[in-house]
Amino acid sequence: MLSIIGIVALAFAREFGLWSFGAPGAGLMPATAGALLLVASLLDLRIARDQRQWPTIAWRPLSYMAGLVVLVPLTPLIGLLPALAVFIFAILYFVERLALHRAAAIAGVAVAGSWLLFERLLSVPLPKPMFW
Amino acid sequence: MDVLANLVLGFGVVLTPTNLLVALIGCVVGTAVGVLPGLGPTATISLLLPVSVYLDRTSSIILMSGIYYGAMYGGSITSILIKIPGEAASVITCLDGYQMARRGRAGAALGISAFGSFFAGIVATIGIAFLGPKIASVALLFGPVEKAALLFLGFVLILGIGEGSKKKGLTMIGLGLLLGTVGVDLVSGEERFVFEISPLRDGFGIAVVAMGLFGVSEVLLMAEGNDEAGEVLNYRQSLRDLLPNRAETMESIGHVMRGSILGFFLGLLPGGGAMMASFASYMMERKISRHPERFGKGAVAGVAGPEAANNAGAQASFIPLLCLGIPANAVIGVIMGALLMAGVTPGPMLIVDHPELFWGVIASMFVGNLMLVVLNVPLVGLFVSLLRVPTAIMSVLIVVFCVIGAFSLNNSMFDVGAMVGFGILGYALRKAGYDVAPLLLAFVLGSMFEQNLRQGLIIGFGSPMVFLKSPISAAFLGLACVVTLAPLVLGRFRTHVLSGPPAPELDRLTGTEIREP
Repeated sequence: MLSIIGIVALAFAREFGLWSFGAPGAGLMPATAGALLLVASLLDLRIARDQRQWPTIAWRPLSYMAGLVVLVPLTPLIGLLPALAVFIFAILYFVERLALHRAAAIAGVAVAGSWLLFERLLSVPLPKPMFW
Repeated sequence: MDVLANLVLGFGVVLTPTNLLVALIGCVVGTAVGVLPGLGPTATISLLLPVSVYLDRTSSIILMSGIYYGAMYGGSITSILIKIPGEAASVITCLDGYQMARRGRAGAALGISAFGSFFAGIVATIGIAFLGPKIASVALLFGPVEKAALLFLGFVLILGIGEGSKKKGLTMIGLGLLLGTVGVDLVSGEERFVFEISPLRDGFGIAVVAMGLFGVSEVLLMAEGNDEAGEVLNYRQSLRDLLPNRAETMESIGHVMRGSILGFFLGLLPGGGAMMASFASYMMERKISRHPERFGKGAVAGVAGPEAANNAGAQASFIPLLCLGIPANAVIGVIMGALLMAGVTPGPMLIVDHPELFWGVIASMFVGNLMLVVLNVPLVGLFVSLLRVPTAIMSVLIVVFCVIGAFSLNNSMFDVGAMVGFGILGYALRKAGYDVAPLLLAFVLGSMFEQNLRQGLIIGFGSPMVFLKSPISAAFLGLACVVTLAPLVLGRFRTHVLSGPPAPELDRLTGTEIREP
C-alpha cells in the first residue's frame, strides 16, 4: 500500500513540474518524498517477505473506529456534544460492558463538562443540531 | 554592571501588584492552553489582543509572554500522561515521557519537565539579558541555505528516533514529507493533492496529525487490550515518591543544561523556536548517549533535554523580536502586533527608547518561571491521579478531548474527520510494526525544509552547489555525512577488530536485560 502511495505521488509530482524556469517546481518535494517512500517500502517489503504475518484486528478497536467514523456525519445532524454523548454511551455500554446507569452518567458528565469548558468558558462555537 | 542595573529597573517594573497578577494570569492561562490540544498560544494571544489595549504596554507583553512559555510547560502534561501533545513543541516528549508514565514514573517525568523548564527558563533569561542584543545579529547569518542544511541534518538524525528498522523509519519519513506537501504550494501557488476539497488547500494542521497519530491510535490500541497502554500501573502515593528520585535528578542535570543551551541558540533562529529546539535536543541526546537503545522506552534524557530546550527556545525567540524587530514564529508575530498596537516599534532602538519594557519583560520571565514551578510541582500528584481513571473511561475522555480540540483549531468538522483518518492510519501503521514518531517529525519539519530548500536553490540560480558554498551549510551537510557513515564504519570496525559479543544492557529500574525488538 505504501509503495502504491509512493508511485501515485511520483505520478502527481511529474504533473506539478519538477523544475521550471531554472528553479525548483512544485513537484520537487512530492517527487523526493514519493521516491523515498517507494524505495524504502520496497526494501522493507523484501526483507519482511519471508516473515510476513498479516496483523489481526480485534473487534473492540474496530467498534471504536466505527464509532469515530459515524461521529463525523452524525454531528451536523444532532450537534457535536449530543453526538459525543451517543458515542461515549455506545462505547461504554455496548463495547466496554459498563452498567447502563454508569455509562449514561459518564456520558452526561463528560458532555456537560465539555459544554462548560469549551462553549461557556472558552467560547468555542461547537456545531449545533441541524434544526436548532 | 549595566546589565545588573537594567535588571533592577526591570524588577522594579515587574514587582508591582498589577504586573505580578498579570504574570500569574499569563502563566495559568498558558498552562491551561498548553494542556488543551488544539487551542494553542497563537490563537489565545490573538483572542487577547483587544484586551491588551486596556493594559499598560509592558503589562500586556508580560501577559502574552507568560501565556507563551506557560503553554510550553502545559503542553508536556498531556504528552506525558496520555500521549497527546498539547503543543507542537511537546510532540517529542510523548516518546519517552509517556513511557515513563507507563512504568509508574509519570510524577518523575512531570517533575523533571517542570524543573527542567524552570532551569532552562532562567538560563534563557540570563542569556537574553547578557548576550541577547550582541548575538541577535548572528542569527541573521542563517538564511534559507543554512536552514535547509540544518533541517537536512535533522532528517538524518530522525532516522535514529523510534523503534523498528531504519528502512521502516525511512518509509515513515517519506510518508511524513509527502503529507507535508498537501495544500497550496507557497512558492508557485499551485494546489497539490487537494482534489478540489477546499479545506485541504491549507494542508493538514500539525495538531490534527499529532492528535490522530498519537492520541486516537493510542485509544485504539488501548481498546485492543494487549497494548502496554492497557497495563495496570504501579503508582506511589506521596508527593515525595512521585517526584524525581535522587538518581533521576542527578541524571537529568546534564541533559537539562545541554537542552537549555541548545534551545537558547536554536530559539534565536527565525522560524526556529521551541519546536525545532525540542527535536534537536532529543536527537543530540540520543546521539551522545551511551545507551541510545533506552530512548523511546522511558529514558530520562528523552524528557529532560527536550523539555528544557523547548522552554529555552520559546524564551530566546523573543530576542530577534526585541532586538531586531523580526518575529521568529507565529506567536511572536502576534506579540509583535500587540507592540505595534501599543505604539512601540520593535527593533534595535527598542532597548534604548523603551528600556522599562525590554527589561520589564526579561524580569517578568524570571518571575513567571518561578510561578510556573510553584504552581505546577504541587499539582503533580493531582495530574498523576488522573491515570487511575479506568482505561475504558480514559479512552472515551481522550476521544472527547481530541475531537473538540481538533474542531476548535479552525471550527471545522473536516479537521475532526482528518484526525480520525490519521488515528486509523496510525493504528494500522503501528500494528504493521512502524513507529509513527518519524512520520510526525518529518511532517512537521518537511514544510520548513521544502520552503528553505527551494528558496536556497532559487538563491543559487538552481545550482545545488549553493549548499556547499556557504561554510555553515557545508558544515551541517558534512556532519550529516558523518552521522550517516559513522555507524557503518564503526560497525565494521567492531566486527573485524573487536571480538566477543557485547555485554547485555541492564534496565536501571528492574535490573533485567534490555532486549531489542
